[in-house]
Amino acid sequence: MTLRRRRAALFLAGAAALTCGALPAGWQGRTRFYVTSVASSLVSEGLATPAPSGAEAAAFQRVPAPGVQFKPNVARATNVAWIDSNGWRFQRGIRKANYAKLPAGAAPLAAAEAFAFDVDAILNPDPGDVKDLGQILRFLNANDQPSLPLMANIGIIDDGSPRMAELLNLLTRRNLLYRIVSTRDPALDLTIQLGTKEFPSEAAANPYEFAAMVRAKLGDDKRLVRLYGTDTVIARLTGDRTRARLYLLSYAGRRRQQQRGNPQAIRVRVLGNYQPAKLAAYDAEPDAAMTDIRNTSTATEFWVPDFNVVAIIDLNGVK
Amino acid sequence: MDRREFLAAMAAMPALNALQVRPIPHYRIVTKYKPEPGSGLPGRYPGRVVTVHSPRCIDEVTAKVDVPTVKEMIAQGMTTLTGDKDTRDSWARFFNADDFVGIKVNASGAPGAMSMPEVVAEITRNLMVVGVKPTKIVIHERGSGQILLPRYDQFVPAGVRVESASTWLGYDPDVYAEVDFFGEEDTRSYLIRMVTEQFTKIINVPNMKDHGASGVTGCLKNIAYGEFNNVSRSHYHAQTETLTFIGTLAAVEPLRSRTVLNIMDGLRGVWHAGPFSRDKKYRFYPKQLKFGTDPVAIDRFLIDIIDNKRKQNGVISVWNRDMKYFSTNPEDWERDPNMNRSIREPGHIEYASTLGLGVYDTSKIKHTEITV
Repeated sequence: MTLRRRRAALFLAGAAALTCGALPAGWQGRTRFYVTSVASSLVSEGLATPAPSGAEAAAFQRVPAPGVQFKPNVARATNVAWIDSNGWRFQRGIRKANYAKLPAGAAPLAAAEAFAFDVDAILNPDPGDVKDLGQILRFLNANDQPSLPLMANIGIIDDGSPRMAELLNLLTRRNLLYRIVSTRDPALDLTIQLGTKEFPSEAAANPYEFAAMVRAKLGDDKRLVRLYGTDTVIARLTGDRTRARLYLLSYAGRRRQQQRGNPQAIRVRVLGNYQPAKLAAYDAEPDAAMTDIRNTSTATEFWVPDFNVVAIIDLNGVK
Repeated sequence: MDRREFLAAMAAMPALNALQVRPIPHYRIVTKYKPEPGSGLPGRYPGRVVTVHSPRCIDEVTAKVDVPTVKEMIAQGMTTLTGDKDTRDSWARFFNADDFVGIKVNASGAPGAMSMPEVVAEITRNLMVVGVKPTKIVIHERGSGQILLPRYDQFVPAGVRVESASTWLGYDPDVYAEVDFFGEEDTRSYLIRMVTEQFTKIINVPNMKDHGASGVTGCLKNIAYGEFNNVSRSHYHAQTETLTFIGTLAAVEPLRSRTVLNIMDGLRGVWHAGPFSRDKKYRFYPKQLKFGTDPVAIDRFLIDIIDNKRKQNGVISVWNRDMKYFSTNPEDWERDPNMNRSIREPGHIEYASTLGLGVYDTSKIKHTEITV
């Protein structure tokens, strides 16, 4: 498929979403995108707002560029790629992020990351990325909708420490869906509080092992989202039993060009019974669709086709 | 000997003292398919292996295959296996015009090592003789890149398909093995959908290769790791899970029931650094084909073939588990045949026998050797 055709498909997908969506009157979008002067053309197009300055800018917290590092020759506990995600920072409370220095290629993912986590973002893209950034902003705008509540079944009592930061980071990377809580919430399947008998402080010394322990304590069957076929995609699930939206952020982008168009890129398992209603997959083939949808006794499963950077999946609850 | 007794026996081996004996992982097999009565591994001829040798089947200098000799080898092998006088009758015991046949080749070492196109072509021809339509014959591999290298399409009649999971049908979401080996996130290995939804029968055509993780790669591994995805996760570390994973996958239905015949291509082999064949110096020429329905019995002899070649070259056995021969640097393993990249697990073949996939004990295997 040519780039031109892909863009046409993206435009059509976006147009369909805009015309079919029932957005509230005066709706201006969840995530506000601000861009530096290098991307002023996107302001002219109405896709973003000029980056603020002064006190307004100071409200935005600097965050690093998202991405992934493949380090096959570095000894480590796992062969999984190193994902640099800000998801845990956003979960911890950042609502305004300043992606002050985005290396070439990182801007589309930064925009998608901020969008998925409902965060306003200043984007300072590499000049060569402005066109791609505009393309993904159009896609995100076309698929925007009012926020749904975060879905999580793990609660974490955040002590604010750097040690906890790394734990949150690894839980995010492993798609162990959590939310920050101030006290134990009986509605959650698991509450993590360091220093307790269940989660002794010394267990946090090895964050990788700690995340594995959390996974084991929860049990894979109880995980809200499982992804098979990737270890570089982070999921964020919002909604409830009647309606949900799943964001899939691919930190490796489309790593393998030969996988382009693969209809079975990722097998997704979402806990609960849903009917997948809509797929919006960035830079996917025009006929990209969720396939082999299965409702088991406890979960919903389907294939997500190959996409680049972000896929958004809307699910309707099934009684 | 059952599976747990088998592992207990391995734990008692002195060579294993330096290594932790891992418990059998918790495998969860999901499939809607039931065993097909009277079919599948170990098949019609458990504990039976026919080996056909020929000094002229391949030229060691040019690697050119002598097609008439291969044709004769296959005819002799099949008739000896079944006891028929006519080759056609031998093939007709396994296949008929109603079948949709998958030929599972091994192309992971191509072009240096692979199921030879001439062998595959002769198998295809015999299938057509008993009425299988060319359009219902699929030469296949899991990986799309690997299957293209041997150019099987240039050796078989029009209509015969050459496919991979990436090019046709993908994976079956309802047939998989789920297991968590090392805390990996992707815990499922799906079976390719050609096997579940298209093929009525499978001919397994591995070739004779060393394997850095499983010790050797023969019949069992060719269908296990060659028909399921996400399998390399079993051997990311020095101590692998190939011991139990290979047999476990080979036993999953409908793969087990539909794999009715094994023809091991030993015209050319690899005695080190397999399953690939980047370095010509590790190739050798056993100049033989093995026939049988029992993958364990055939693979049992493969261990000896690879190990004897290694001994002949003065290097460590595939059974050697001493960590002094281990290196995390793949270049060491490629360069030095006395280096291991993993602790090899040739015991996966005996383990598979404990799952009922075949006969491991050579004293109980009827082995006929022929030279043409």
